[in-house]
Amino acid sequence: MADDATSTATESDSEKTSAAGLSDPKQWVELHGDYLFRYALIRVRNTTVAEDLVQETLLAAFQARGRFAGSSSERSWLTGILKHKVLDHFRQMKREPATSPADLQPPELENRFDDLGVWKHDPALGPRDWGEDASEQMQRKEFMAVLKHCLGKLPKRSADAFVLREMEGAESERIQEMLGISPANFWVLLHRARMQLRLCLEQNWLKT
Amino acid sequence: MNPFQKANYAMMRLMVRVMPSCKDIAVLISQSMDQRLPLMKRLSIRLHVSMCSLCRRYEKQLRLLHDSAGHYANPDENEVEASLSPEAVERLQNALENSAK
Repeated sequence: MADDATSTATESDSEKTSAAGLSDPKQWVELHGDYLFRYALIRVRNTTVAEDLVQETLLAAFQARGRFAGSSSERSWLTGILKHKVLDHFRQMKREPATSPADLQPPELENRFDDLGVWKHDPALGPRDWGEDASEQMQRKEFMAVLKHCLGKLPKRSADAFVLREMEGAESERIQEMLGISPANFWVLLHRARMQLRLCLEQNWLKT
Repeated sequence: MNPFQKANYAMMRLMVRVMPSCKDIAVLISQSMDQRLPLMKRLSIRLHVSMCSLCRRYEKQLRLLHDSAGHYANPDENEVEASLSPEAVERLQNALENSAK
């Protein structure tokens, strides 16, 4: 059965195979499992949660396979279902204990400005010049690793807000509702996330 | 600080007495990426940024961060070495086959 699955897998990777436009569900794990896992892992930043979301996605897709319209590829159909599961995951998070004081007052953000609120012109705190080729560099694997490290250092709520806004491109109002936070709280979280990420990137990636 | 930076710093210390500080502008720059700000707020960002080299840089870097988040979110470009563990694959296969029964 394994041989069978492998040979069909190569053919059906991008092509539609069955009459319904979907490949055999038994092959979904092999065809799309890793891709879906990466998609979830990047966003929820936890292996176990990512695996669970992939499982929920495949089972939901199996139940709904009759409704596959064929207007998109099998993979983007599955990814669309996973996207909903990821958002649901964040929505459930709001039942967790509310934001801790440390989440709202990261100390390293308070000393960036002088008494009048002007940037200190301190090279250690930046903003430093990132150079002409920054945007090119930022597409490289090395940069992704640093960004991952920096996201991991953010307070969880800040990181969640950043992921939802900048990676999922969700609307601000929707994120506020999903995370169960006030608009003011949301703007602060996102502002601090960006500020902290910027600083962390500058300190950990620029010197390499 | 080089002489240019010194001059810019001195000027900005004067300017923020009559207009929003870099600290305030940094908040507005972030907000402007998520919603359309009222005209006066947009103007105050532009006015400040036209004079302040570090806020100009900050704004540019937040845009770079925004662009890179898009790449980061793409499973074809990021975490490309991550894969489901053999145990997870087996669990998923079993779950699918059970629901197929």
